Amino acid sequence: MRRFWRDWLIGVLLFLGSLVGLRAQVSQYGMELVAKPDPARVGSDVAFRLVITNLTSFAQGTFQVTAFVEGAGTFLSATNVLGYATNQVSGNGLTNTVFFEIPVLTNNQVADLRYAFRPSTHGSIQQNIWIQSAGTVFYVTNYTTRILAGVADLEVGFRSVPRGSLPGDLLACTLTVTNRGPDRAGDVRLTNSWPAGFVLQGVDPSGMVLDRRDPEWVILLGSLDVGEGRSVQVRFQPQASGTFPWTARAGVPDFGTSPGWIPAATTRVSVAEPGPGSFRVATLAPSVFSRQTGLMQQRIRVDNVGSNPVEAVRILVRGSPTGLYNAHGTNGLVPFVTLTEPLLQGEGRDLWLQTFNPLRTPGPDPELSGVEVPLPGGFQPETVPVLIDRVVRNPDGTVGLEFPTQLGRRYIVRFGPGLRAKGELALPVQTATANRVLWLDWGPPLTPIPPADAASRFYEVLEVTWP
Amino acid sequence: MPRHHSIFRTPAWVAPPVLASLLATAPTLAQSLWVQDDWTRNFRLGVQVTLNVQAQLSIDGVVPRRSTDPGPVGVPGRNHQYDDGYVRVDATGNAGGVTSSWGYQDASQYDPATDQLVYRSTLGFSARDQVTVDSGPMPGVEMVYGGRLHDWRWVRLGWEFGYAWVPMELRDTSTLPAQFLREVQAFDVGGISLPTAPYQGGSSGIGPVIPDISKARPDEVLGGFLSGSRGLDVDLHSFRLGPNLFWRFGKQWALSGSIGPALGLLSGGYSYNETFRFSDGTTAANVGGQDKLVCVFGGYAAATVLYRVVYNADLYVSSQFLSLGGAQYGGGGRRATLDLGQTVMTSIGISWPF
Repeated sequence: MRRFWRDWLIGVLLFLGSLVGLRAQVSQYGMELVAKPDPARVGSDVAFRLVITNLTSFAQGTFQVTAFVEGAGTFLSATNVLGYATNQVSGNGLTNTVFFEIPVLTNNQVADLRYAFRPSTHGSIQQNIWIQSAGTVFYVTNYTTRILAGVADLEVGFRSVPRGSLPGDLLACTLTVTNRGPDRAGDVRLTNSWPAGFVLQGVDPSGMVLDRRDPEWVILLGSLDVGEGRSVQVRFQPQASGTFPWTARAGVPDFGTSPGWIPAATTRVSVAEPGPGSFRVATLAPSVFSRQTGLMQQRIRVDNVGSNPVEAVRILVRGSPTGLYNAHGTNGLVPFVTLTEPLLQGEGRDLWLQTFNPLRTPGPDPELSGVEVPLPGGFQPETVPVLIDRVVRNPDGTVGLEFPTQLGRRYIVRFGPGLRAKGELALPVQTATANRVLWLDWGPPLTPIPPADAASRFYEVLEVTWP
Repeated sequence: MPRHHSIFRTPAWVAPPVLASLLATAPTLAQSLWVQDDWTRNFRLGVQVTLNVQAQLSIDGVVPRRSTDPGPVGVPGRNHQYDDGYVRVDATGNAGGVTSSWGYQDASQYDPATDQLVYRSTLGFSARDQVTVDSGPMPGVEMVYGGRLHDWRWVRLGWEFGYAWVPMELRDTSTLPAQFLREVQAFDVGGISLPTAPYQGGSSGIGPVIPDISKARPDEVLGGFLSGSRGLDVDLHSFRLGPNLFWRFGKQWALSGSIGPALGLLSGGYSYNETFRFSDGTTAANVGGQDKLVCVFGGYAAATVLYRVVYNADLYVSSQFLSLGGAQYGGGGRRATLDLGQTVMTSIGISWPF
């Protein structure tokens, strides 16, 4: 009986409304659709909350809301505290029609309609919402909810960012991507953006597919399990001086990240122009064959003939047909060594150059020149320590370190003035040619000053595992 | 095709799986005693144990060693392999008369008086030993194929061809006293700081280098022991062909006998894996051998008991006496004689008549 009077009252009100020309319009309903979580994940529940407010100034009888939900998944539930809710699944299972009905939605009353799905494929869920009231149907709008294949927080890091470089140097930098979960990430892509003045020389390990569209280029890293990291070495050549930002962003197609997670990192690569220093570089003696190393060795001297002290000197070695075995780097095609000890005005240093000549005979003297450079650095290889078997202090002032090696593996020595000092790396990295190596510290350019001139020197042998 | 008609006619592959279950009901499988009612051919497959194979192994006199080559003295650019190291040609071709491809085993090899590395290579040894080694039971496999020539009531005259494979290992593991002859060569170190022994230099040309010309030192004769093992590792493939007399003496029981010529192929040969234990405490490995193919002839006699478990499957037990000629191996002071003259083979398996 009460229902009869209620419906009768609604009918009267609607009749009166029509008499005064007031008709409900779509704009007269407040509506909000919220998906949680948004974006959602395949296989995880996504809850939708559809809130509709009657702003028509009139009570609406037999108020109906229909949500056409397109997207593969499983319908879980629907609730309507003001009425009832039903769901109908299409034959192919790709569309759910969720229907809500409210007998009366009074003015300013809020209909809180809730329903939930569990998506089975990544992509999106499309929803079209319709409202019907008093025989009038309104198409309200459509909503799209993104469905992710998974969530993986990828951490990007730079390592061994070179310092003290000049335009034309062949440089290398390590990028590491680590999957911090929660899902295994397949097809991880590392997108790099850097200045137009950088020329990409290659990526190690080789064989990775490289999608290159300057100034962005992509390394395809493959899949990463949770907790797994992968490093790549990027070889590049700056063409100009300056400080250049380099941003690397990791991602997986159709994957998301946790809220607030930034799967990217930025570093700055400084490339300097040569300083104004002036140097005289000359050979001191002909190249001689060393039976201890199997290499040709030549003693040279560099003198600061400029008007200012310099922080570091780079000696460029041109015209050596067999290259430079102890080169610290290459600028263009010219190998060089760097003296990393400050050189005062008028001060000079002796250095050793090493070359491998299969004939074991002296070649022509190289053409030498020196340029002032900022103090180089930045090389931070991944290493494991190696025990030193024997330390020999030789009569000529050199110090020999003997340690076990494995043929073909690479080793480097770190040295410093104290036992606890972090120390510097004695470049270059050496590849073992036997089952043990007798490494000789003879001073520049391997170490800044001869060991005999150092107050104290401590050594640590490291096997380089990356790069 | 069988001459009788059985209600049990089923595909042949069914027989093995149902064999066990049919064993219990075997007495119900009626079988005519007349062999003319039986199948006309058969194929047997079984495992075999071979007994009474012997080998005489002997070492007598000077045995040269072939596994290392110390190389010539005084000649540059040659490879030298020693018991205690090596000096080889490196990637540069020993440019400058030096090589990075060298190694040594022990610090005692360095002679500070002459600044030389001393290497030794055992040229041979003398020892005396003669043992007879019995093989013991040796497993193998046997296959036999046979057919019918003529039937008389319970007896059939047929033929059969057999093949058997037996891997044989007859080794002497005794430790022998021996006298060793070692060639001694030396290389100048050239003043380098020697890496600690044991050192194995690579062939890249980079690293410590030493001159590549060996210098002769007097040979050494010293005592010691020869340990390890030496002997024969051969596979016997025997083939036989002969007449066969088959007698069915019970509904499910039959006896078969065969005699005829046999041929044996022996692959493999003499091998040794020894260690020289010198009186100065050092050791050297001596590994080698010589394979060859030997053909021996002889004859056989075999007797087989068969039990019919299903209409076309028999279990059989067979014993065979095989007499083949002996085979000689070795050389250079080592000798081995394989005696196959009184070989006994026992086999068990399944026979499929068809």
